[in-house]
Amino acid sequence: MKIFSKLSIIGMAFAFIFGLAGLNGVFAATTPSLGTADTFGVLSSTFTVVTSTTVNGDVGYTVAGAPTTAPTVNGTIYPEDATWTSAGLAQGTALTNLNNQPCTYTFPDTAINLSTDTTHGTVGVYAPGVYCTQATRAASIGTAGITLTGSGTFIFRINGAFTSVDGAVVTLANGASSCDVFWTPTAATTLGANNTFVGTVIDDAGITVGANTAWTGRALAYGGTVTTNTDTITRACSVSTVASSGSSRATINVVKTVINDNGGTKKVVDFPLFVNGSAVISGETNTFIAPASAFTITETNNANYTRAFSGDCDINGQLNLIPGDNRFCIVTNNDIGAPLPVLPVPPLMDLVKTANPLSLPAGPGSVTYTYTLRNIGTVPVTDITIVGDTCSPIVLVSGDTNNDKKLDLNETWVHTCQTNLTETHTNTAVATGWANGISTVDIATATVVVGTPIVPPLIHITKVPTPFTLPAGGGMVTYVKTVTNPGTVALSNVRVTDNQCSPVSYITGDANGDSKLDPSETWMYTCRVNLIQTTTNTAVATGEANGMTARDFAIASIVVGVPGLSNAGIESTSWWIIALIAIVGISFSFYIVRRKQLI
Amino acid sequence: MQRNLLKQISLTIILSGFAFSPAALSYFYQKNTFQQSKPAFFVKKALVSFQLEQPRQGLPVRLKIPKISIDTTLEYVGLTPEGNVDVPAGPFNAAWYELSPRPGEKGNAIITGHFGWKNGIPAIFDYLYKLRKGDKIYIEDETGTTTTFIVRESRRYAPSAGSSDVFVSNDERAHLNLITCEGIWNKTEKSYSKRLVVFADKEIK
Repeated sequence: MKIFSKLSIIGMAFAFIFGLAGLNGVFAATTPSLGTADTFGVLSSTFTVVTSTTVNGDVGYTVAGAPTTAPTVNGTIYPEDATWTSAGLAQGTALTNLNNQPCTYTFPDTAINLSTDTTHGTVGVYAPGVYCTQATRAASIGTAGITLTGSGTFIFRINGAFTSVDGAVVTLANGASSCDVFWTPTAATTLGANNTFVGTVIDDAGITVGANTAWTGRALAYGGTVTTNTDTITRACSVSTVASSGSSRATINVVKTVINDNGGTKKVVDFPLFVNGSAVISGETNTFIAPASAFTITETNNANYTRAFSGDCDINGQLNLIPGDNRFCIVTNNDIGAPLPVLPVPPLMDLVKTANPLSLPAGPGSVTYTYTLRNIGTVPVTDITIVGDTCSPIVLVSGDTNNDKKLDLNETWVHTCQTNLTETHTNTAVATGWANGISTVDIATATVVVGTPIVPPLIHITKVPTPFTLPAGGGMVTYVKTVTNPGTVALSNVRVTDNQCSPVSYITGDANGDSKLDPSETWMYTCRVNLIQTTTNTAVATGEANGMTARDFAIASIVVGVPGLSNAGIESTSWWIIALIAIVGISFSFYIVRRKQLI
Repeated sequence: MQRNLLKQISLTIILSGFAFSPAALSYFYQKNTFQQSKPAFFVKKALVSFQLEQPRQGLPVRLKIPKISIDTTLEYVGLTPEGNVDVPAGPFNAAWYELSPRPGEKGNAIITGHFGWKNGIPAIFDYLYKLRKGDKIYIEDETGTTTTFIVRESRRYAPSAGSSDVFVSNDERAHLNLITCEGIWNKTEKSYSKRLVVFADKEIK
C-alpha cells in the first residue's frame, strides 16, 4: 500500500512536471524585426520587370540584376550599395528568427492547398500561428483564397515551393495586419495573375509574380530573383478593415418610414427613436461596442400608428452585433384611422452612392462621394433630405432642373461630398422624401479601403412595385428588382432577398454567364405576393469580391384600402305581420258583418 | 247572447294563436339552430401570410357567446363589390372575414353577423349590443381548440365612416372584432343608421 502511494506521488509529480512542460510548449508566434529591410518593397539580387510595375517602398538589386524595364518606385532604389547589403543581412536575421519559432501546426505529409485544407481548423481560415509543411512539401493558395483572422503573427513555413492560382485572394480580418504575415518557402515562390496577396515573402529561391497582382507586403529575395509583371507591391502595413474601424466596434443605423394613408399627419421626427434606451436620429450612424447581443430598437409609441421592423432587425426590433458590422434597422409606422376618400399614392426614390477612389493604397487621402437620387415612382417627391455619416456638407450639384425643390419624375439629382479618410471606412447615406403623406427612404453604403490596394465591392438594388395602390381586400403585387454593380470589381455570390415576398426569382442579366455581376451588367429579379393591407417591404442585395461583402437595401410601400364595415342589417318588418294584420282585419270585418246579419 | 260571447272568445283565441304562432315557431327554430353543431362548410383559400414566424391557428368553425345565447357555425366571407366586408348568407350563422387573421393569431380577426331578418326571424347578432366589457367570446377552430376572447369595448360608426382601427391594431396581440348593424332602418339606402363593432382581446392565460 505504501509502495502504491509512493508510486502515485511520483506519477503525479511527473505528470505535473510534464504538464508544465506542455504549458511551456504553447507558443505564440511573434513578428521579427526586419531591421533595414523593413522599408523595402522589393529586395533582390536580380529584379526583372516584365512590364510596368509599381513599388510603394524601397527597391534593391545588384548592378548586374537591374531591371531592364524601369519600375515605378515610390521610394528609394538601392543598387548593390551598403544599404542593399545591410538589408540583405537583416533579411537573413529575420529569416533565422522566423525559422526558430516552433510550429504551432504541422500539416500532413503531403502538398497542401491552404484554401481547402481542413486539418488545421476551419477551411480557408487561419488564426495567428506558425504553420509548417513537412519536408519538401509545397503549399499553394487555391481559387477560394484564404483569410487570416485575428490580431497576431502568421508564419507559413513552407518546406518546398509556394504557389498561388490566378485570382487568389488573401484576406485579412479581425485585426490581422499585413506586417505580421510571413511566408518562408524553401523553394521558389510563384504567385498567379490577378492575385490580392498579403505579407512578406522571404525566399532566395526566387519570387515570381503573375500579372496584375496587388501585393501588400514585401518581396525579399536578397540572394535571388524577383520577377514582376504589371503588379503593385506596397510595403506599408495594412490592418484588416475591421481593425481599422475599431476591432471592437460596429454600427447601427435606425431608419424611419411613415405612412399616413388613413388621415394621420405625423412625420419622422414625431417618433423619437432609441437603441437600448439611448436616443438616436433616423438615418444617422451610431457606433457601439461589439461583439454584443440584444440591441433593442424602440420608439415613443403612438396609439394611432402601427409599427413594423425590417432590415437587420427581427420583428421585435432586436439585433446582435459583431465587430465591423454596419447594421440597418428600418422602422415603419402606419396610421390607424378613417380611410381617405382616395387612396394616396406612395412615393419611391432610389439612391446610388459611389466613392472616388474606392481605395487609397498609399494611405490616408481625400475621397469624393457622389450621391445620385432618382424618382422611380409615379409622383413627385418633396422635402428631400440626405443624412450621411462622416461626410458633410452633402451638396446638391445638379438635377433640380425647374428649381421647384421637388424630385420630379424625370429628374436625377446629383449630390457630392468630400472628406479625408485616414482608415478604411464604410460610409452610409439615407435619403428621405415625401409625397401624399407617405415617406420614401433609400439607403446607400460605400466602403473605401485605406492602406491597401484591395478594391472594395459595391452593389445597388432598385425595387419597383406594380401597382402602388390596391383597393380594399388587396391583391397581387409584382416587384421588379434591378441589381447593378456601381463599383469596379465583379461580384460573386450575388443574393437578393425580400422580407415580405418570396421567392425572389432571377430573370436575366448575366450576359457572359460567369455567375458574376460585372460592372456592365444589370440583373433583373421579380417577385409576386398577395397583399391584403398596406405594406412596406425591404429587399436586400449582397455580393462579394476581394474578401468583402457589399450590401444595398430597397424599400417600397404599397397602400391597400381599408374595407368598409359590413351592411349586416335587414329590415325586420315582415310579411307575416302584415298578413296577420290583414287576416285579423278581414276576420274582424267578417265578424262585424256576421254580427249585423244576426242582429 | 251566451252563444255570441262564446263565438267572440273563440275568435279571439284563434286570432291570438295566429298572432303568436310565427313568433313561437321562430323562437324554437332559433334555439335549435344556435345550439346544434352543424357541419361547417369551408371554403379554404390559400392566403399568403407575412408572419411566417407565427404558428398558424386552425380555421375557425364555431362562435359561442353564452351571454346572448349564441352558439353557431361560421361561414367564410370576403368583400362585396363595394369593398365592404361581406355578411353571412342567412340569419343564423356568423361569418369570418377570411382576409383577416384567424381568431387567435396576431391582429384583428373580423366576424360579422346579421342584425334583423326578413319575416321577423331573429338574426344572430340581434343582441350583440348587450355585450359589456368582460363578457367572454369563444372561438372553436377546426382542430377542436377553443380560444377565448374578452370584450373590451363597443363602438358605433356611421355606415360610410369606416376605420382602420377595426381591421388594424398595433399591439402585436390577437383580437376579435364583431361587426353588425344598429339604429334606424333607412328604406332608401336599405341600411341601418349605425354600425356596431364589439372589440375583444384574446384572453391571456
